[in-house]
Amino acid sequence: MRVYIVRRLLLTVPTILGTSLLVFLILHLVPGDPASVIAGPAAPADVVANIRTQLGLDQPILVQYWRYLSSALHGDLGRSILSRRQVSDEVAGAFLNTLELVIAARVWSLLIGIPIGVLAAARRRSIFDKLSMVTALLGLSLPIFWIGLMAMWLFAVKLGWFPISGRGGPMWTAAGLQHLVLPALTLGGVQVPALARLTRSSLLEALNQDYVRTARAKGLAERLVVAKHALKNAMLPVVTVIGLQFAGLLGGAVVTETIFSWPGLGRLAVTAILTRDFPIVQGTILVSAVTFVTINLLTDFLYAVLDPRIKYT
Amino acid sequence: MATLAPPDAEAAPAASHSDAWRRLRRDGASLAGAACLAALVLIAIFAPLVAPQDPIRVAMRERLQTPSRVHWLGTDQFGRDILSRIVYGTRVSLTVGLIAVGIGLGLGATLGLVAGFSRRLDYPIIAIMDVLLSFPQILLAIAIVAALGPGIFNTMIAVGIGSVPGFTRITRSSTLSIRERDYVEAARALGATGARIIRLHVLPNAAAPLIVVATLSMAGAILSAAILSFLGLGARPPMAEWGAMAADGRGLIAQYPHVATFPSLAIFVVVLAFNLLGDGLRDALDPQLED
Repeated sequence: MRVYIVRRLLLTVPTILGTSLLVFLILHLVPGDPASVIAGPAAPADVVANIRTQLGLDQPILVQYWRYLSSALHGDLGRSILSRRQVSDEVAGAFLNTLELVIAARVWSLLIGIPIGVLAAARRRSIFDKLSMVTALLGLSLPIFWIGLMAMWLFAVKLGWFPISGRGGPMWTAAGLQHLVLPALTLGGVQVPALARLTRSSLLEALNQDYVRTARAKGLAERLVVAKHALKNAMLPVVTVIGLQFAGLLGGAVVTETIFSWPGLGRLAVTAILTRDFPIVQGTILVSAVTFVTINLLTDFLYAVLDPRIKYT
Repeated sequence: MATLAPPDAEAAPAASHSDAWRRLRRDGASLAGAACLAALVLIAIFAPLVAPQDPIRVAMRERLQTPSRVHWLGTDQFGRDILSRIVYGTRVSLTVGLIAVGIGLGLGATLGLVAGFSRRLDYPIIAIMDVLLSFPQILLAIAIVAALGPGIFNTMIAVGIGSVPGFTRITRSSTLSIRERDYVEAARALGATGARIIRLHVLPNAAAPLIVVATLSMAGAILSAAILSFLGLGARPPMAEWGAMAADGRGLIAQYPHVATFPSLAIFVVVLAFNLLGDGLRDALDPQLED
C-alpha cells in the first residue's frame, strides 16, 4: 500500500510538469507577437517593448519556461497586466470562492443523486425507476446555463426567495448562505442525473453477483440485501466517478460563476481571456488543473483504501 | 491471452453488425433520436427555405416581442426573428459538432493506432493524453481558446482537441487487444503490411466503440461549443449560434425569458437526440452492457 502511494505520487510529477508546460505555452501559441497582442493594436513601440521585457519574452523559450516553472513553484505567478496585483493573490481569493461553491454543489448533488440511483435499482422496472431514469437522461442534455437562468428567473425574479447574483460573504453567514443557494443548486443540479444513472447501474451489477444470491437464499430481507451487501460494493465505481465529476464541477463552475457573477476562478479566467490578461489566464488554468490532478490522486487513494481485493504493488 | 480466431474471422463482424442493426431497430428511443437528427440535418440543409425570415435582419421596431403569429418564437433585442435564428443555428451547431468530433476522431484514432503498435511511442503518447486529461474538458477548451483567440473556428479546434484523449484510449486498447491475436500473427507471417493489418483487422474491431463514442461526443461537443459561445469565447455577433443567442437573453431573463429559453431548448433537443442514439448504439453494439 505504501509502495503504491509513493508510486502514484511520483506519477503525478510528469503530469504536473506537462500541465505547467501546456499552461506556459498558452502565451506562446498566440498568433503573432504576444507582447503587441497584449498591448493592443494602437500601443506605441516602447510600451510593447516594455511588456516584452517584463514578461521575459525576449529570452530563449527554454529559459522562459524554466523561469516560469521555478517562480510558480515559489508561488509567484507574475502580475496581472490590468490590475498590477500579484496573480497568486487574485487567484487565491477566487479559488476559495470556487471551492465553496463546488463543495456546496457536491454535497447536495450527492444527497439527491445517490438515493435516487439506489431506489431506482432496488425497485427496478418500477414507475419510479423508469420516471427517474427518463428525467436523468433529459437532465443530462440540458445546457447548464439555461438551468442557471431558469433558477434565477424562478427563485430570484419571480419568487424573490434568493438574491439574483453575487456573493454575500462566507457561507456560514445568513447573507453568504442566501447568495450561495442558487449557484450551488445550478452547479449541483447538473451532476445529479449522471450520478443517479451511475449509482443505479453500479448497484444493479452488484445485485447480480453470487454473494447477493447467497444472501437472498439464506432468507435475508431484500432491504438488508441491498443495504448491507450490494450497496457497499456498488459504491466503489461511484467513488471514482465522484472524483472524476470534479472535472465537470470545475468546468460547470465557469458557467455558473459567469451567470451569477460569483467571484470565483472560472469567472476570473473568462474575464481575463476577454481582456487578454495572460498572466491571470495562466494562473487560473494552472490552479484548476493542479486541483483536478490532486483530487484524482485523492480519489485513487480512497479507492485503494476502500477496495481490499485489489493489491497495489 | 490470445484466442484462436474462428476460420471465418473476417465474416464475423458482418454477422454481428446485422445483429446490432436488428437490436437498434427494436429500440424506440434511439430510433426517435435518429429520426430527430435526420430532421435537424434537413432543416440545416434547407435553412433558407425553412426559416420564415432573414436571421440577421435587424428591425428595432419589432424588438423583444413575445411569441405571436408573425414571430412564432418572438424576437430578440434587435427585433430579429428567433425562430429563423434557431433554424440557421442548426447549421452552426451541427457543423461545429461534426468538425470538432472529426478532429478528435482523426487525431485520436491515429495516435491510438500508433501508441498501440509502437512500443517506443506508446509511453510518450499516453503521457501527453494524461496531461490533456488532467484538464477538465471545458477548461482545456477555454485554455486553447485563450491562446488562439475567441471565435467559432477556434472553438471547433479547442473542443476537438479536448476530445482527442477519449478516442486515443479506445483505439489504443482495441489495437493492443487485437495485436496479439493469432490470426493477426498469421497475417503478419504471410507478409501482410502494417497498413493492411490496420485496415482489415484493427479498424473493423475498433469501429464499434469508436462509433458509440463519436456519437456521444457529438452531444458533448455541441454542448461545449454552445457553452463557449455563451461565455463570449465562441461565435461572434451577429452569427446565429444557439449559445450566443442564450447569452443575448441573459440580461433579459427577468422580463423576456423566451429570448434565452428557445435557443437553449434547441440545444437540448439536438444534444438529447445524440445522447439517445449514442445510448442505443452502445446497447446494440455491445450487448453485454444491456440491462
